[in-house]
Amino acid sequence: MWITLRRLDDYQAAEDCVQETFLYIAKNFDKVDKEDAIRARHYIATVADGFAVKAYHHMKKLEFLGDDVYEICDNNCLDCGSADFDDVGATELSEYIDKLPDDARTLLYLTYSYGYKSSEIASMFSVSEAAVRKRLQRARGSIRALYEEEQKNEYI
Amino acid sequence: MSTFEKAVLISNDRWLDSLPDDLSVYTYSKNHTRRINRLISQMRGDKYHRLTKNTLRVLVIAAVLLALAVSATAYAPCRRHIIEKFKQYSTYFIGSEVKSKPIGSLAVSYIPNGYELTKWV
Repeated sequence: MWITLRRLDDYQAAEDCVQETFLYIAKNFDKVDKEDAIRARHYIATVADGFAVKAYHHMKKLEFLGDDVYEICDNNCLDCGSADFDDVGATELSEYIDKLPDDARTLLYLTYSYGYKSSEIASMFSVSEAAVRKRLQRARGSIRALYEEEQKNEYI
Repeated sequence: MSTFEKAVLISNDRWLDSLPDDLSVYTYSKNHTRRINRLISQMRGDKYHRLTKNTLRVLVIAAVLLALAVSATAYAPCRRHIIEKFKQYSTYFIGSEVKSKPIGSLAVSYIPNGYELTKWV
């Protein structure tokens, strides 16, 4: 409740989000790690935050996973979205991930931390699979752009 | 595990660590509590079911009552009730399931006193 309330600042909307999260968890109970309580707690928190982000976008009339949200990358990064990050350290890279918009960060967490497929995320948030893939690619592109910008600044 | 995946895990852990451990107790609304309780009652084992336990119970009872209502045991009392209550508006027939045998020939076996047999068709 705290997670959803913090993001939405509306009791009714936050409760709705909690219900949505519970319903989703109930329907996909096999995804919950029953042996590791901390991981299960983290998973539930991430899912709740995902629904809260979606509700926030809906409240602010923003397109969830759309292009009109805050974008770090100002060039078309669809190509660099598929780039690997082997030349960057994981800790350094994680700091760039922290700077991403909430919806993109949630997608990355669900995909890479909990092994979600694009189709699963699409059905979870009732969006198209293509939108999820595109957002993921843009997120990676944004990280790459952030990294390159940082490198440029250091060089100067 | 690639560097990118490691970075996402680190970021995720950092975000989760930023969540406070001691949260103030929030009192949920009655509506919310009712919905969550309903949701919990829809969980049986590790599976989610569309019907709650109560709904399932009501459906089973309804099915049993319906089965009893249309069964042979319920037929006679129902018929009696209809005949008694609505006798002006109902007709009923009493028939036997045993088929009668066709009659071949008739023979007069008794003639009352004072009568005599005159013609036999």
